[in-house]
Amino acid sequence: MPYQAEISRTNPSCFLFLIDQSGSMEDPFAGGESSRRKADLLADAVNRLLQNLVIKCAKEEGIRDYFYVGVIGYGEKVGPALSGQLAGRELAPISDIGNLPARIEERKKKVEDGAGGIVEQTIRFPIWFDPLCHGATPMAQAFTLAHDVLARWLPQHADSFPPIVINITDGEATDGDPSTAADALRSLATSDGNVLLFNVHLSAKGAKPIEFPDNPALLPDQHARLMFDLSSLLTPTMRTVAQQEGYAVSENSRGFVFNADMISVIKFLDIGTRPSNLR
Amino acid sequence: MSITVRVMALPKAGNRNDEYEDACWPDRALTTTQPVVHCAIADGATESAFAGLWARQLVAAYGAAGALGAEDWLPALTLEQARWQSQVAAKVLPWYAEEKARSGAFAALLGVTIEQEMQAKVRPWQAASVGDCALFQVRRGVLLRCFPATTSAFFTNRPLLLSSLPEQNAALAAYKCHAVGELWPGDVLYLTTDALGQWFLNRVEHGAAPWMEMEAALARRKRGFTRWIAALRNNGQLRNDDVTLLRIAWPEQ
Repeated sequence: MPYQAEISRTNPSCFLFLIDQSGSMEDPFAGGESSRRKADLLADAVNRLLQNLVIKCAKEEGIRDYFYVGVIGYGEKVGPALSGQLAGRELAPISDIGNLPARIEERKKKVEDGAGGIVEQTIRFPIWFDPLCHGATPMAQAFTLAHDVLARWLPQHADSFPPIVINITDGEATDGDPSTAADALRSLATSDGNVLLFNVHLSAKGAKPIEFPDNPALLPDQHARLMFDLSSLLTPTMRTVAQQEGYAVSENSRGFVFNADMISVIKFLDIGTRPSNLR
Repeated sequence: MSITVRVMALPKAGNRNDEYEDACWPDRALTTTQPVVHCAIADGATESAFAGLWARQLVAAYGAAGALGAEDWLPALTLEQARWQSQVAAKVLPWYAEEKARSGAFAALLGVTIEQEMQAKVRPWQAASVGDCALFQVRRGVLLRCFPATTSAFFTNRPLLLSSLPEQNAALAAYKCHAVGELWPGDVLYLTTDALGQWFLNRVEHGAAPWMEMEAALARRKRGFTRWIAALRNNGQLRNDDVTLLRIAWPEQ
């Protein structure tokens, strides 16, 4: 059975984020926060994904290196996109990500007080990635660079849970059809299965969020349908956890979300007991 | 004869001893003549911080008085939650540990209380459980009781667990299980954390007598038990997780 490998410090997996930094990301987002640019929401989404991944691996004594993590931006340039001390690194252990954010901001968060009320807490919000939107959308080049980065990582991790690539974009590639490059990326594999390519499509159109669809006919336009086609199927374990989390998924559900985030995918990964009442 | 308790505790393969997040009470072998014997086992969840601390607190609280097993257990639980929070709040933590601690620690807990009147012919026990620790009772070579799990399918990586934060425990009352039984001379109770409990029931489902295999491994002391667990992990029979076993016996004359 594929996608069963234990994720551990001796057998880590990998997350690679591909971030659309093209000029079209300057447009406003339609998913409920229309005053904000897609680029700002994308930066928030990436920082939240990294934050959630670090917290998943965090224990009181530090961060356990269950994952290597990289961020590739594509717009005017295609290349590593982390800021601060991690600038220029293709992949870094998750402990480096957690310990070396570019800066830490303070933000307000509303939480339950345990007595039926809501209180506002000040939390530390680490920033690794700043908004940038300039140039075209060379998505095929980004897939090709991701392929090259993972092809270098895989020989040392031949039995790992396969790397997960999460591409966040408005879905309009300008360097031709990215399907061939995406196929090549998904064809890379460990002994446990092929690389998983998941896509997050942020649209300026006023369409409601769609998460892990199984039918492209229900998607609002051809860009979304293309991103669906490029996306890997959810693994059986991911489907099981998704169902436990309340998502309506089937055997044909893909790792694709439209005008939504993909933080849930981090919950879908098994690194040990996760209480069902942990919120 | 008095009740005897043996303890085996091993961290997940690849983890250090100080990363072991199960806990048990007592934490070492003993023979006791106490009129009431409290034993407990707990399993701190990997995806929470300070889970080992929480698990150790829970078994110590159960072991001291058994109050966490009582019907009216909330005052005892509230006291432990406050203690956990004050211990964690006293630490200076990096942003990720602070954020993780904000979600609380989680652990499964199973406790058993045995009344030991030395002249009595049977010794009644009562058990309470939240989460996926397991109790098995064996009498004269036959599996008599499984609690709360009765099949290996009971064990998933997403159990509902006891949290160190009250707000994470809203549905808990519905998930706390109770059981009662009797120890006869020669009976053995095994308390295990989830990986070993799952293995045990899986073996039972395949017609085996896993308690015999455990007894054979226990007879080889800590080193032999450790080798046995390593072999089960290596051949895929046992999920790689912390392993804890309490063997509680009332030896025959």
